[in-house]
Amino acid sequence: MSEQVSIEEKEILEALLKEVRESAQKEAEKILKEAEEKAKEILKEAEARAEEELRKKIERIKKRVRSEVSSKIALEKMRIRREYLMEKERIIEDLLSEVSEKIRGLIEKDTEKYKLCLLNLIIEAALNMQNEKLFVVTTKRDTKLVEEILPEAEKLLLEKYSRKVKLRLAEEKIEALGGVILRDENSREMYNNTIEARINRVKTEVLPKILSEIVR
Amino acid sequence: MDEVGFISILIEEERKAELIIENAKKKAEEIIEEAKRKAKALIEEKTKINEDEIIEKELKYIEKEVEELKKKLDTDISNLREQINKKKADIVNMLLQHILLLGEKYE
Repeated sequence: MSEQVSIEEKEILEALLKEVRESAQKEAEKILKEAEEKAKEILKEAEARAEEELRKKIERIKKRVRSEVSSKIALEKMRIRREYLMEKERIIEDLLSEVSEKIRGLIEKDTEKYKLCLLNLIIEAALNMQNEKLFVVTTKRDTKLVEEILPEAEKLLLEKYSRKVKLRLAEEKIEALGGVILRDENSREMYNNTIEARINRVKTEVLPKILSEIVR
Repeated sequence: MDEVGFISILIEEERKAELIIENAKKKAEEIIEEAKRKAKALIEEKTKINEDEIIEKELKYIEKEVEELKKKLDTDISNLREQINKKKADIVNMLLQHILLLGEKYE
């Protein structure tokens, strides 16, 4: 084929060459652009990985430090909490001492009020027991007062609470600030309503509620 | 130019085009390799830590935690004492009512 190329064919050739050149250029640009983007992505991922690795490294060290001193910290925290509880207990004991003093004052100076208190203590104790024949144990000092109260207590138990209970003064005496202990004949069933027992009950049942109310 | 020359020129241009693409691919590989090198260096650089400094910081934090607990409990105790002192008469009366079963305000 040795025919001469016409002008028209020359133009076609040039167009073809241009097409090949441009297409290669475009493809090269595309390859480079993709590479740049991938490079950016690699660096971005590296940043994230570095942050994560740094975080993990620091966390590992912190964890190691904590585990090394954990028993020491626990002991120190326990010591602080124990001191707090002891101080709280002291405050409560001071408060209850004041209450005891007031009660002592009432017993000494206001016999009528104390008599009413004894009556209520006997009734409350009897209502919390099953037996119908109960013995009332009291202090030597309160023996006479309790003896006077027993008929009224029986009457109130029957009329107000429909409980027929026989109350007898026990021969034995107790050492207490005041109040009574009720027991059945064989001392199998007992109810301690001495002032000390009531103070203890108040300490564990009533006082925590009051304290949590006032320091809210 | 005859037809042979025409085809030769086209083939030559195709070869050049392939070379351009080949070079672009090589350059792309270099860019990615460079990025990988930079990434490795970046990770090494950014994850360097001063262990002693972190340990010291953590120990201080733990110490602060213990101090804060003590401070909190001290405050709780002061508040309790203050509130009890402020409302002592009422509290004592409430307790007396529970203990003595008088069902009325004592005093």
